[in-house]
Parts: sequence; C-alpha cells; structure tokens
Amino acid sequence: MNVRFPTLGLPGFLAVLCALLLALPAQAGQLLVDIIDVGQGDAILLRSPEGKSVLIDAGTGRTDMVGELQGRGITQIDLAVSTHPHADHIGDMEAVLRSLPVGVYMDNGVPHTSKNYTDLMVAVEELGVPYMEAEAGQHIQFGDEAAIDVLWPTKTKLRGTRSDLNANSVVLRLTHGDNCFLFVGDAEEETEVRLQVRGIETCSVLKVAHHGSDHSSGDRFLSKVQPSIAVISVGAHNRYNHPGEETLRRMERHGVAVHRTDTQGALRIISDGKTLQVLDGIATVTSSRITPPSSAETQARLAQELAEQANDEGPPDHEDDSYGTPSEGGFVASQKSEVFHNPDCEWAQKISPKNLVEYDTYEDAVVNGKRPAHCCSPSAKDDK
Amino acid sequence: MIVVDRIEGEVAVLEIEGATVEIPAAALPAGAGEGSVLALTLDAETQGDVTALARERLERLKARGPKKSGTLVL
Repeated sequence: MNVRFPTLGLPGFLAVLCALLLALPAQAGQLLVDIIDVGQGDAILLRSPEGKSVLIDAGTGRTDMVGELQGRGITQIDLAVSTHPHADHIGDMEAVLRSLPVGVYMDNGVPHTSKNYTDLMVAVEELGVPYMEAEAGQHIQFGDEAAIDVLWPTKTKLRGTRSDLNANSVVLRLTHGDNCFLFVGDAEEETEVRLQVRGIETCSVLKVAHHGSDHSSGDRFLSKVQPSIAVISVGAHNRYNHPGEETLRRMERHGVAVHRTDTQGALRIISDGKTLQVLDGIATVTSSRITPPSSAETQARLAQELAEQANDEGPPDHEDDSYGTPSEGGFVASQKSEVFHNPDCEWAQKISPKNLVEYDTYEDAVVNGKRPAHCCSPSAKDDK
Repeated sequence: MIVVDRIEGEVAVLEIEGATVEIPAAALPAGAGEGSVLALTLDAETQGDVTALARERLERLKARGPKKSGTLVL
C-alpha cells in the first residue's frame, strides 16, 4: 500500500526519518559502526548496544566533526583514539575534545611536530582528559557484549619505514559475538608483516588502511585476515589517487565486498553479533542542514526500512514525481583549474567534458584543492 | 624554488616546481609579496625543540593516565 505525506513531501519525510534514525540509539543487541564521510581522512564511530561510544580518528580539520557526532545523538565519547598524528586523522580531534566530554584519550605515543598535533595534546593536558598510550596486548571492555583489543603498536616502535607515523598506527580489533572489525589506521606493509608474525586472526570487516593506498593491504595480509567486507574512507577525486588500483584489484581477487565513502557517502555497519548489515548514504545531520542519502537506491531502501520501523503500512509512494530524480545543485570544475563553479555559470559551460570534474558539496570541492570561482561565487547552500 | 605567485586576500598562492600550494598570507616572511622567491630549509634545531617539548608532555600525560596494563572498562 502506498503512503502519502502531503505536508512534508517525500524528500522532507526522508530527511526527517533519516534524522530520527541517526539519533536513535542502537537497537537491543545491535552494535553500530559508522564510517563518517569526512572526505580524504578517517573518522569512525563505534556504539555498543548499551550506548557506549568510541571514536577512532576525527576527520581532516575541514569537517564539522562535532556536528556529525551530535547529529548521531552523541553527547559524550567514552574513548577517543587517534591512530596516528597525521592531519587527516586528527584534524578535528581537538574540537571534539573541547566540545564533548571524553572519558579516555588514546594515541600511539609517537609525537609529531605539527601544529595540529601540538594543539591537540595541549588540549588533552589542559582539559585533564586521561591519556593512554596504545600498546599491543591492551584489552578494552566495550559494554557488556563487545571488546576491543589493541594489536599495534608494540612498546618498541617501528623506525626507519617510509612513514614511521603510519607504521606505528594504532591497530584495534573489535569483537561482537561472531563478528569482528579490524581498524588499521594508515598501517603499511611493514606493520602488516609484523601483525602476521604476531599471529593476526581472521576478521569479517577490514577498515582498509591508508584510504586504499597501494602501500597497504598486501596479498598475504588479506589472506590471513580474510575479510568479507572492506570499507575505504576516501575523498572523491583526491590528489593522491586513493584508493590505488592495485589495492582494489587485490580486494577483488580475495573476494572482498568493498564499500567506499567517496562513492557511497557515510557508511554504517550494523552487527547483531551474528550477522552484518551495511548501509550506505547515511544522512548527515548537523545543526545547520540535513543532507539526504546519496543515491536513489539507498533512499528507497532507507525509506522502506524507516517506514516499516515507524509502523507504517508499506513503502513510500514511488510514483512521487520528485522521487529518484537527481537533485539540482553541486559544483563543477576543470581538472586543470584551481577553481570550481556553479553548474549554471557561463564559465562552467566552457569546461571541456574530458576535463570536467563534479563535486556534490562545497566541502568536497575544497577538500580536493579547489577554491570558489569569483565569477559565480559558489556557496555551500548549493550543495546537492 | 618557491615563488609567491599571488596573494588573494588572506591567502598566498605559492608555486613550487609548477604546482601551486595555498598558505595563509600571514605565514609569509616579513617583506614577502607577489613574485618573492622563498627558500625551503630544514630547521633541525627548531624541530628538535618541538619534539622535546612534545615528549615531555607525553611523559606528564602518561604519569597521570590510566595504567597501561590490565583491562580498560568503558
């Protein structure tokens, strides 16, 4: 049976229901893992069935990280982890610490010289947040049903690698019933080899290291971990060509289902301890705006699930004219230019199709190194 | 060679080997402007100072943090 929503219209209904879904705590027995879409960086939120929360990394410094968390109903973080002190992982951690109560702050104990790192650690000290240096062997009880084990780094840190900060990334293994999640930060091959030597076990979900860079996710590592699901947190059209083609080929060879934030938006993996469900295009609710799911397919699925959850009698009306129609907005640029335009700008019309790059949001364009063109002054209100 | 290609308000656009990088204009050395040629140097002395301060802070934080061994219960 079709259901009509005369006052909100379907887009409004979807937005409101998505907002409600995000704010809802995990259902009984469900553990939620949100791969927040921060562009070219990492931010992962874990929620236990009891409502405990762990944040692994905190965006790029260009993210409304606090809004992302609050939009998901988070009012405090029980454990905040910086896997390593690169700006694309700790960019918004200081803002999180200064805005939300944080129970314990953990990092890999390897200092960096950057302003991002220094400001963050000054905040940890000023705010009196208990600090813990990650060390393989540590065990964290995450509510009643889940646990997190620290697999890396060891007390003796790796030295002389391509990137010692990456190589000493905090590696965490989350277990919930039969399900397992492996979060590897930006660990590279040297670390993968040592994890294998230490006897890494199989794990259902792999947060792919280093945004899918070819420096990580080697064949032998994948053979040991045998993930069925891989998630890549990566920005669209990034300058580093992440994820690497070779990494994607390896995933394919190993039969891993790959999910990516650049093409699917924010991801959510739901664990009931036995099975796993992956949702994509998870809407972002911030204090200022609601971004609907990224694809018509996702909208349809979410709408159906949400309508059912709300005890409605069936899926929304698929005959609604606005349903499934690509939304207007977004931005365009030439890959040869530093600036981006509104799509209807006369200069945008002159971009050769072979050089045309599209961005859904103002932030995407900026994160990928573009700046707004003076001719049409694009603004975030024109986000898709 | 690093050249200040232009200054756009509060943003300075630097050209390095043909690629451009944007930095806050306020971070330019005093007297630098459009066309200035800048040098990129390794400042090991300052780096050492910053690293030493960071290590001292880590030691202070470790001393007051939860014990590293055992189970952390959230």
